[in-house]
Amino acid sequence: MSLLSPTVFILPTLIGALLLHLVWSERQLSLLFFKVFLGIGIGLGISSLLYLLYMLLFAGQHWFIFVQIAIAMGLLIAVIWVERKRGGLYLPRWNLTRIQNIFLGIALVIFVVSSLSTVSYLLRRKQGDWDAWMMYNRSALFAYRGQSNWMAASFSRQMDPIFHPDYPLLLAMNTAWGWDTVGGETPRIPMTQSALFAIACVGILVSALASTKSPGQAALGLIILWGTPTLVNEGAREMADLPLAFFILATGILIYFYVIHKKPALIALAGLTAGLAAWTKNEGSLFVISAGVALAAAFLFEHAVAAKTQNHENTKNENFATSRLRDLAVKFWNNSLRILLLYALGLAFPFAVVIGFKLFLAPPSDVLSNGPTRSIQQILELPRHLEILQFLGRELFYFGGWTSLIGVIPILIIYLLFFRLPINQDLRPAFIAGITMIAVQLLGDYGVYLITPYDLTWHLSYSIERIVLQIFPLIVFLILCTSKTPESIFGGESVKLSTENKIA
Amino acid sequence: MTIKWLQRGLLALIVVVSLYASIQNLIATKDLGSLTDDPVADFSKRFDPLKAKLPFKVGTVGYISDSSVPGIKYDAANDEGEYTLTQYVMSPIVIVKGTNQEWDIALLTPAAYKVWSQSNNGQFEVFPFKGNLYLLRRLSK
Repeated sequence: MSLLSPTVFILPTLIGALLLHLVWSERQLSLLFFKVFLGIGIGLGISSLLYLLYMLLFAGQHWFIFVQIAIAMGLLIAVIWVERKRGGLYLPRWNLTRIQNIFLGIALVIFVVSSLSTVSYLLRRKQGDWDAWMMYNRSALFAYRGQSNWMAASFSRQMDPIFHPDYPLLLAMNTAWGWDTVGGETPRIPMTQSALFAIACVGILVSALASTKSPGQAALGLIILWGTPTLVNEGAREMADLPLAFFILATGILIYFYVIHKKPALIALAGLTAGLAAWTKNEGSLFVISAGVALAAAFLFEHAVAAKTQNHENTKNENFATSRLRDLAVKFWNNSLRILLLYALGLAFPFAVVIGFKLFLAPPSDVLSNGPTRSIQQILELPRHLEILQFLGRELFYFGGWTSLIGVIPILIIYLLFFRLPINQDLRPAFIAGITMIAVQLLGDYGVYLITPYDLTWHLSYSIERIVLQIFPLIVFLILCTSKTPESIFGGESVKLSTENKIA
Repeated sequence: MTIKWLQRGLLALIVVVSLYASIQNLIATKDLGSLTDDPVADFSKRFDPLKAKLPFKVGTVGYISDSSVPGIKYDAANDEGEYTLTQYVMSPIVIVKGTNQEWDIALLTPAAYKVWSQSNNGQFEVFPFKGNLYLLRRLSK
């Protein structure tokens, strides 16, 4: 049972990948890989949501696996039906330059070394780190062992708030149905889930860079992300921060792809991943707002630029300009509203579950337990602001565990200064969205530290590294998207993997 | 040309630092403990006889440790760690601090148990287990 237990995650991966392919049938090889890696997270998210609903209706019964099989089969039939009229699979011709081969070779070495680190960490901390067994795995035990009584026990108002029964259940529900499927409490289920999110996080970054930039840039993405010890270790700790980082990165990439491909389904998928972020951790609910604000800002900017250009062109004919501006305003409202509605559509299912969970099941969050008067007092205390900024600045400078002198983020900023490329006008909304998401998320976290009921120094020391980790993969993606590729730096030809070359 | 070489040097430096950090990180995982040990699972096994003795599988039990006994010295970090581990291994039973429940768990060193039993004589039926573990049943409110 124990050795085969990780195979239970094949079904959710299949569900996620097939669902993605159904709504976005792009067949470029790097995008097919992207869909498999994104499918891991989306499939795990959907399975977790469905298991909560299943536990509300059928707790004590053990046939959830048949729900998963039915969904996977249904999606498989739908994909086969859609694909039946399309031609054979087009594969790229592997004609890589010397520099690309070198970078891919180094990336492979780092992939193997860091994957061994993950395995070693997982085997030495089989139950995960402190927060893992205190919150996520404990919560899974309540569901798995409690069965028909799980709700009363899991969300008991008597439970000490340090166990965080208010935390969203994405990881816990997956662990619980995993145990239910294999028929026992093996630690291999949460271990595998943790490692899967880490691999998926690296996978979506690498495949997205291979699609938008080059194989060399994709390899560099892996070298930076999977060569960052803090991220690698977090992937083995069985906690929710790396899964949250995965969903934040996924949302950013999906918006980026929307700007390139103009497929409305991609915005709906971004809504889904933002909603799953909210189901992963409380900071994910903040991210739902961050992503919404980012979309509004990005597409408001796009239309504002268009309106300004149009206005400039038509200043001679004022009546024409006024009517044109009115048209643009209507177009803006129609388009921007459409984007926000698509985002809301994708968000609807996961976020409805999160809201239901928060309103009817979970006890109140301890972070918001200060009350308005005390919170306002704390907001007005200048030393609190200074302490938060000091901690945040220090963490941004040293984050990652690369060297004791300087962390990954300043090195990436220096890298950006050296290798920055002008951002294509068409791609600007994607960067505005990405930067806005990071800024709003950090601002929200800053606000939480201001009003925290805990000792501020303890709270910052305990969590600031993971706050930076949550946005780190998106920072890497945005920087690598707007910088030169290793191919161009070393003078080789940039070979993109495309579907244009068919293998005979 | 100089800029080009500087750029190449920076990129090579990033690759080398990343590779070095990855190898160092792999070596450092040795410090996390043995591959065969599982302290959390061992802690859980200690509680199996106590769980078997409890007359219910879902409910609330009280919890005391050395920190609950006045005058006893204790390691605060260990005390907190054992409390959180107890909640983990007793799931789905909810643990609340104190002895106000009908059933309570006591995780007491011999010195602490001696002091506690003197001040609570006759109020609890005590079921002792291995590893400084006791199940207490309140006799009267």
